[in-house]
Parts: sequence; structure tokens; C-alpha cells
Amino acid sequence: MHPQQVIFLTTIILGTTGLVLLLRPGWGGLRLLGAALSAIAFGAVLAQAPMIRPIQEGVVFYLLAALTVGAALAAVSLVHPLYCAVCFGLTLVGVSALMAYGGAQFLAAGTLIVYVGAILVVLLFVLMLAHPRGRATYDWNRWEVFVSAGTAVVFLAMLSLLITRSLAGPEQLAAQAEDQRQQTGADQPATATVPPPPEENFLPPKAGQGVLASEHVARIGQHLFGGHWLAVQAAGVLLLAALVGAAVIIGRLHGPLEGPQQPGGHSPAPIAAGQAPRTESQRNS
Amino acid sequence: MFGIESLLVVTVVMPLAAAVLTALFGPRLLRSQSHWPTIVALAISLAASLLLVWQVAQEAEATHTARQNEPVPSAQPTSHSLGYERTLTLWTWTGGGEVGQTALSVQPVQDPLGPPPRIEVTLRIDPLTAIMLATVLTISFLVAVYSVGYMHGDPGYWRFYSYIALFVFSMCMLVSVSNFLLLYVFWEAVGLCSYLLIGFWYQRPAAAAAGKKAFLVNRVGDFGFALGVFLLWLTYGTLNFHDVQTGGQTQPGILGQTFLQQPEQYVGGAVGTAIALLLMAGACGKSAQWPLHVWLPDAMEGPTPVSALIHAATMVTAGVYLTARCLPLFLAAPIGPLVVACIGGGTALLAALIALTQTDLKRILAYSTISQLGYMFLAVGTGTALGVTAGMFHLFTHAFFKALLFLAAGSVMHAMGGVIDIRQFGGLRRHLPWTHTTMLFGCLALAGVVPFAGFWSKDAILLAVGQQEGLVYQVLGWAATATAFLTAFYTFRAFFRTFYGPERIPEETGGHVHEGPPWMTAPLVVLAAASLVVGAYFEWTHGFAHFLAQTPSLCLAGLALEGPRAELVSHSQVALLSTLVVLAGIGLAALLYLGSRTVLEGLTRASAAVGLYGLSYGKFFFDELYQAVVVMPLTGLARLCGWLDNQAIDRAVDDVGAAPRALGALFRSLQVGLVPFYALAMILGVLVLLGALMTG
Amino acid sequence: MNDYAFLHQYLAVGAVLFSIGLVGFFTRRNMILMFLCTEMMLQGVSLSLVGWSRFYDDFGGQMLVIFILVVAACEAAIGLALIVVLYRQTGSLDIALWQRLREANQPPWQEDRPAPIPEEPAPVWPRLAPAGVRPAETDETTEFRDMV
Repeated sequence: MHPQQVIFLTTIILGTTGLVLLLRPGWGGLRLLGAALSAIAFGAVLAQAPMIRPIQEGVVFYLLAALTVGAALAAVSLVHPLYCAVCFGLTLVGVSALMAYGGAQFLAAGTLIVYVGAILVVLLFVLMLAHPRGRATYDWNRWEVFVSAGTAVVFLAMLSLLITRSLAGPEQLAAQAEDQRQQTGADQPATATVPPPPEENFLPPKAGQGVLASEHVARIGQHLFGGHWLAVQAAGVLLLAALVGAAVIIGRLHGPLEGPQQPGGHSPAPIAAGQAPRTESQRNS
Repeated sequence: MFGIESLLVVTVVMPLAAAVLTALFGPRLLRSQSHWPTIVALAISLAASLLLVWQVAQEAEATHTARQNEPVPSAQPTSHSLGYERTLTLWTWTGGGEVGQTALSVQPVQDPLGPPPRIEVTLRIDPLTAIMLATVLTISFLVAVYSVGYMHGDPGYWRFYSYIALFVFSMCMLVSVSNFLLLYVFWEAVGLCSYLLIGFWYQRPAAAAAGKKAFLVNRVGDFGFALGVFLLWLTYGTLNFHDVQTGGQTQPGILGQTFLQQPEQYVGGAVGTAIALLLMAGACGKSAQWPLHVWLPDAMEGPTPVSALIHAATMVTAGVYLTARCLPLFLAAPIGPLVVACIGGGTALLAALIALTQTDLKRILAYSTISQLGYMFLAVGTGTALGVTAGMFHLFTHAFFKALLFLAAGSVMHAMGGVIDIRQFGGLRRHLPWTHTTMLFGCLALAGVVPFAGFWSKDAILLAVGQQEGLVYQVLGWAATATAFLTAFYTFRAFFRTFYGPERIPEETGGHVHEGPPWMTAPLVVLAAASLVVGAYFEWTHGFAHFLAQTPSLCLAGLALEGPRAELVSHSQVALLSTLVVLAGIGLAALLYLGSRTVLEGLTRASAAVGLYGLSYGKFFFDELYQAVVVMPLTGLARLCGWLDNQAIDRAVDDVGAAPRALGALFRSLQVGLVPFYALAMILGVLVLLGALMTG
Repeated sequence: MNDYAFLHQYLAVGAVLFSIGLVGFFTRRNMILMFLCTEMMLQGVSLSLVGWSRFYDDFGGQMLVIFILVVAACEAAIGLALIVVLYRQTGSLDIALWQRLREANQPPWQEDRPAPIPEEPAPVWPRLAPAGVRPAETDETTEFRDMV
């Protein structure tokens, strides 16, 4: 079998099993095993990528990636919503670190500020508003775990296969060229022995905008308010609309604020079919 | 005083105005006074038509005298016109412009069939039309007056008068247009009015069915008539009766002077025969001749005045009128007159046989109408001057006494509370003296007793048939004589059973038997007097034949109406024979229905034993025959088509519609309303796309 | 060479994040957590875009990420507002209470096995070791204890 296929099948089987074990309510040890299995599967996906050289940079990347993926798994699988939110914050930290590592310092900062500073806080706020006690049965019981996990893992496997395939050709060619250049040495003319690459533009067409340049933020500003000024204005309008919309949605509900009916916050019985939730007028009367 | 043209227009237009007025104002404004527009208009029209007859007679006589006085140059025998006719073109309905406009620099595209037909709305007046107009309007006026009493209180009173006026308009136009296309239009229009009036009480299923039957049976004949008109157009290139002077040249009409003076120009042979037979089919349908006679007895479901007006006196004579009008076309066909005579004679005998045993008073009269119409066709079918004159004369007299009979029957029906079965009443002469007397007049006229109208016209027909050579006409003559006997018998059978014998009054009257109001008796008296007088008057003065002879169509060369009259000997022989026969019929009826019942019952039993009674009572089973031969296969075909439509086409359409539904039912259970489930489905779709992307 | 490796790894991490968010969205029933999972998927996409931006040395990808941030902020505002409204109607964050979009003849989803939350052991509070002697209670203390 081709190693890619092996990795593909391994990813699917291990990942599905692990996610199922992780997500199903059960004994803690099994869930730990599931976490491990799914970590292995996701690691296999990551491991298909060629190493970054020099090696220490690769180590940094892998550490950050492990932090992100692990935190994400925890955020998805933990029962307590509050813990989930905290783990999601950790994921955000990892993502912003990866962004900074990938040459997007401004975005890293923006993500941290917007997500962790605003969105996550609001999220936690709503959570605590709705969950005074913190836990509910619907957090413990999950939906169709088998189907969901299978679908997600197959989706991931296909994505990774897609990435690997579409990047394999030029990458391998480049690797061959570099190897040959190292073997032959610099004294010999490369044109004599090295066959020309089949496609001249397999190397990335650099736009040369200096993503990694030192005046990174200034360049972002130039681009943002240069070429994308209209989109920026539109985004501003969108934000305003969202603000007004949120205010309207919440503000329409006059009358006394109601908390959960049961002090414990446990889920009430599911609404029977045909029985509409109480309307506003009924509640006001 | 008045121009002939203006008189004609007034005659024709007044009923139309009455119809429109009544239809517009009847339901709201006039209500129970809805008869006034029609009666006034018909009175005016009647006066105008009588004036018209007088003026036409004057002018025709003047023309005739002038023609006879002037020396006829032998070199140009066609220099003067035949007969007397006047035409009046009202407007051009369709067709090309003036002749002068054809000299355009741009040649119009030539139609392979020739230029489009130029149809002009042209009225004509000649003696035939004048007689028809006078007859129709006289009867119509009297019937309209009668209906004031008869239809009083009917919820559709205004509707009735509107229809009647419309019918009179259509009938007047039918006899006065000078064009086959317009003739066809008004031919259909009278059929429509007939349909409307038969089904006047449309709430009654029998009336609605009878109207439908009349309309459909008439369609069969009209289809033939339409084909005949098409064939005429193809053969002669015109549809006009009269010659049209366009520019300097004459476009000969089918019944115009050009053709009439050279009758050998008429197309004979197969085409001529086809034309004659097709026109005869139309005439058969409208005049209820065998084999299309089945609708007329059922048409008695309509109000009795309608039966008197349309289904006895006027509309059903349209076929006779058509045959007389198109006599040159029939004469051009080798067997044309013979076919007409055979159909007429056969129908006369057949209908008389059926009428023997019917028990419905109006149906007896209906069959007698069919029988008398058969007489007229027989007379016209002789193709001789004497025959045509006799036929038209019989049409004229028959209109009076048959209308009288129907109105009297209506009076009986009115008194009996709607009962018309002669087995349910009897001995009514004391209760209905006026009806009794007038109906006696009508019966005597129908039977053909000496001084009454029917005698003279029937006598003329028998004479005309008897003068024809050939075996067929001999047989037809004997059949006509037998029919005369049967007519006398069944007429007086009905009369005796109604007015004599033990007094029986049906329960529907509620014990309140009374004569109708003066509105009803006055027309009866007028018609009775006319039945007594008209025949003798016109026969003695020879005015009718002389007047009618001025009609161009009947002035065909070789058809000399003015020829030597029949010898008095043969005339008196025929008259003697028919009188004897009629008296025998009346005597037999008196013997059977006034005398002891044992003879009658014995006779009935004997005829029933050999099946004759049932045959006559069942109307020779024509209805059943048509049901089996025509209606059933068509119904079967319709059922088959309906089944195919339902089971094949509809089913296919339904299935096409059901396929998406079934397909949807497969996935309907997926609609669980849970958001994650929808997301899952979406991602599965994306997976499929990804797979396609990677494998493709 | 490094460019390809870099891109590949960023794409891989983005895909993994996206998948984890996906499975979370499928399985979680808490509306807020579902929302959180969508944000996680957005993060995965953002990471991929950063990788592409680096690969092509083009700021376009980062611009996109900025607008993703904007949209995410809007989404958070509207989505959380809606969640609050829904919560007020049912008193619960359970998405299973909202299945009224299903077909008319479709039976509602019912929790077949409502597993209870496992009982946690009662919290063991630290206990102070008994020490010293109980102070003697005077009558005055006993009498006025309730009023202090």
C-alpha cells in the first residue's frame, strides 16, 4: 500500500474511534484513551507535512500546533461549558501564536484582542447568565457521536489528502533539485547536470509585498486603507448594523427578565410537537 | 305610397327591434307587459308585409302585362327578364372592394381558389318571398296575441317574447335574403330560436333533452346544407341568388336571370346531383322529413304557441321554401325531383301511420305536421309548375289550419291543467265551446273536407302527382291518397276522443274547467275563419298560382307555370276520390270512437296481434334505431376516449406529478428540524464534492 | 522548500481545527458551545489564510482574515443576542428544544437515554483538628445569644 493510503486509513479509523471515545459520556479513562487516539490521528495529519528546516523552527511550530489542537479537543469534549470556553481561549492563544509565527503579527494581536478580549468574554458572560449552576444534562449527552465523528474525520482526511496531493508535485521537485545541488556542489554549473524543472513556475509566485518585512503593520495599514478602503467602510457599516440588530433583538423583549424556571437550570422537558413556546403577548399578560 | 324596398326593410327590422327591446327592458321594466313590443312590432310588420304583397302583385302584374304585350323578337329571346324580382343591397359584409379598384398597379396576390367571396347583405322581394313573409307574419302575430293569454304569469314571460321576436326576425330574413351564405346564417338562427323555445322550460329535463335533440338532429341536416353551399361556391363561384351588375359586366347569380334563361348552363351530372341531395339533406333536417323527422314530436315539449308557430306553421316550412327556391338546381340533377318526391311521399305515409295510435294530442298534431310537410315535398318533387304551386299553396293553407289546431290543442291543455293525453279526458265540448268549434274547423281543413282550405291544396297536390308519368309517381299518388284517408281518420280520432264520448276530466284541473281568455279565443276564431276561406278564395280566383308564377326561380324555361291547366275532368275525378276517401276516414273514426267500443277493441287487438299496433305506437322504432346505430357507438367511442383520457393521459400526468412527491417522501423523514443535523447533511454534501474534486 | 513546508503545515493545522470545530458543532447541544465551535472553524480558516499569505508574500490573505474577524464580531453580537432570546423562551440553552422546522408528520426527536450527570462525590471540606477547650458558656451568653 502506498504510505499515503496507510496514513489516510489510519487517520480515519483512529480518529473516529478516538473522537467517539472522547465524546461519549462514560468512564474517564476511556475518554482519556480517546483523547490520545484522536491526538495520534491528528498528529498523523500534521506529520504528512515536510519538516521545516532548520529543525528548531519546526519544533516551535509543532509545539504551538500541539497546544492549539489539544486545547481545541478539550474545548470540544469537556462537559462543563465554562471549561470549554477556557480551553477555547487557550486555542485562540495558540492560533494567535501560530499567526505571529507565520508572519501575521498584527492579526495575532487582533485575534487575541477581538476574540479573547471581546467575543470570549461575552460568551462567558452569556454562559454564566444562563448557567448559574454550571452543568446540564444536554452538556453531558451528545448528539449522534458516531456519525458526527466519522463525518468530521473523513472530511479531515480528505482535506489532508487534497493538501498533500496538490502540494506534493512541486514540493518533491524542489526537494530533488535542492538535493542534487547539494550533491554536485557549487563548483559545477547546475545547468549542466540538473535537468530543468518541468514547470518553471512551480515556485510560489511571490507578490513581494513584504509580509515578513519589519514595517509589517504599516504595510497592512497601507493595504487596508489603500486597496481595500471600500471593504473597510462596508465592514464598518456591517458592524454598526450588527450593533443595532443586537440591540433591537434584545431590546424588543420588554417586561420582566426571566431566569430559568428551575433554580437548578436543568433542561425542562422538550417541547412537545405542536406546542408553541409561549409568545411574548402571553408572557406579558 | 311606400317604396317596396322600405316596406321590406320595415317588415324585417321591426321584429329585431322588438327582440332587442324586450331583452333589454323585459326583466326589469316591462315584466308582465313584455308582450307589447313584440305585438306592436309584429302588427306593423304584418301590415307592411300585406302591403308588400299587394304592391308586388301590382308591379308583377304590370311587368307581366307589359311583357306579354310587347312583341318578342325571335332573334333575342333573352332580352327581357323572367318573372319579377327586386333586390336591395344593404351593405357589403365581406369581400373585395369596387370593381374600379382592381386596376391597381400592384397586382394582389392571386388566390388559387379565385378572389375572396364578395358577400353582400342583400334582401330580395319576389312573389315567393312575399307569400312567405305574409304567411309567417300572420301566423306570428296571431300566435303572439294568443300567447298573452297562454303564457300569462310565466316567470320567463319577457324571455318568451324576446325569443319569439328574434325567431320572427330570423324567419323573415331567411325568406328574404338573396344569398346562400346569409340563408345559411338565418337557417341556423331559426334553429337556434327553435332550440331556445323548445327548451324554454329548461328546468324540465324532458324539455332540455328535447331541445338538445332538435338541435343535434338539425345539425346533421345543416351539415349537409353547409356542404351543399360549399359545393355551390366551388361550382358556380358565387353564392348570390341574383345577378350582380358590377361595372359594365354581369356576374351571374345562381338563381339569377342569366342562368334561368339558359337552364342548360346549370351543372348537372354527379356534381348537380350532389348539390341537390345535400340541399335536400338540409331541407329534411329543418322540415322534419324522414330520416331526420325524429326531433319534431319531441319538440312538443316546448310551449304550445311555440309548437304552433315554429314547429307547425313557419320554421318547418323552411325546407319546402328552400326546395322551391332552388328548384332549378333540383331540376338540373337527374334524380333530384324524384328523390324529393319519394322522401316526401314516404314521410307523409309513415308519419300518418304513426299518428294513428299516438295518445298525446300535440304529438298527433306533430306527426300530422310531418305528414303534411311530406305532402309539400311530394308536390315540389314533381318538378312541374302545377306541383310547385300546389306545394306552396299547401304550405300557405297548412300554416293556417295547423296553427289553429295547435292553438286549439293549447287551449285544451290550458283548460285541462297541462294534461294533453287524450286517454285522460273526453266529452269536453260543453266546457270548451269555442275551442270545440274552432278545432272542428281545423280538423275539417286538415282532413280536407270540401269547402275548407286543406281540401283545395291537397287536391292540387294529388292532381299534380297524378299527372306525372312513371311508376314511381303512380305509387306515390296512391300513397298520398292513402295518407289522406289516414289523416282524416287520426284527425277525427283525436277530435272525437277529446270533445265527445263520456265526459272525463283529469284531476289536474281541480274541477275548474274553463275557456281561455279572449286573448286566446280571438286568434282561434280568426284562424278558423281563415281555414274556411283562404283555400276556396285563392283556388277560385287562381290568384295564388298566378302570383307565384312571377317568381324568377319558378319561371325556369321549360317549367311553364302558365301552361294549360289540368283538364276539369281529371280534376273532378281526383276531387271526388279524395273526398270519398276522407269521408270514409271520418266515418271510420266516428264508428270506432263514437259507436260501441267492442269494434275498436277488436280492431286494436287484431292489429296488436300481428304487431302493427306496436309498430305504429312505437313510432316505427326510429328513435331506438338511431339510439342503437348512431348514439350507442358514439357513446361507446366517447367512453373509450374518456377512459383513455382518465387512465392513460391523466394517469401519466398524475404520475409525473407524483414522482417528485414520492421522491420527496423518501427524504421527508430527513426533515427533523434539528440544526446540527442540517449542518451534518451539508458537510456530507461537501464531502461528495471533495471526492469528486479529488477523483476528477 | 521551507515555503512549501510552512504552507503545508499551516494548512494541516487549519484543517484539523476546522474538523474539530465541525465535530463539536455536530455533537454539542449547548447553543453557546455550538457557537463557540463555529468560531473555532473560523480560526482554522484564518490560519490557512495566514499560511497562504506567507506563501505568496501577499497581504490579501491577511486582509481576508481581518474581515473574517469583523464578521465574527458581528456574528457574535447577533448570535449571542439570538441565543439570549431563545433562552428566554425556553429557559434552557438546549438546541433540542427547537425542532419546529421539521416536517409536519415527523415525530419530534426525543432523548432516548437521558443519562443523568454522574453523581460527584460530596465535597470534602477541610476540617480543623480539634484543639483547645470549649469555652464555658455563662448564663448571660446563653440568654442573649440570639440577640447578638
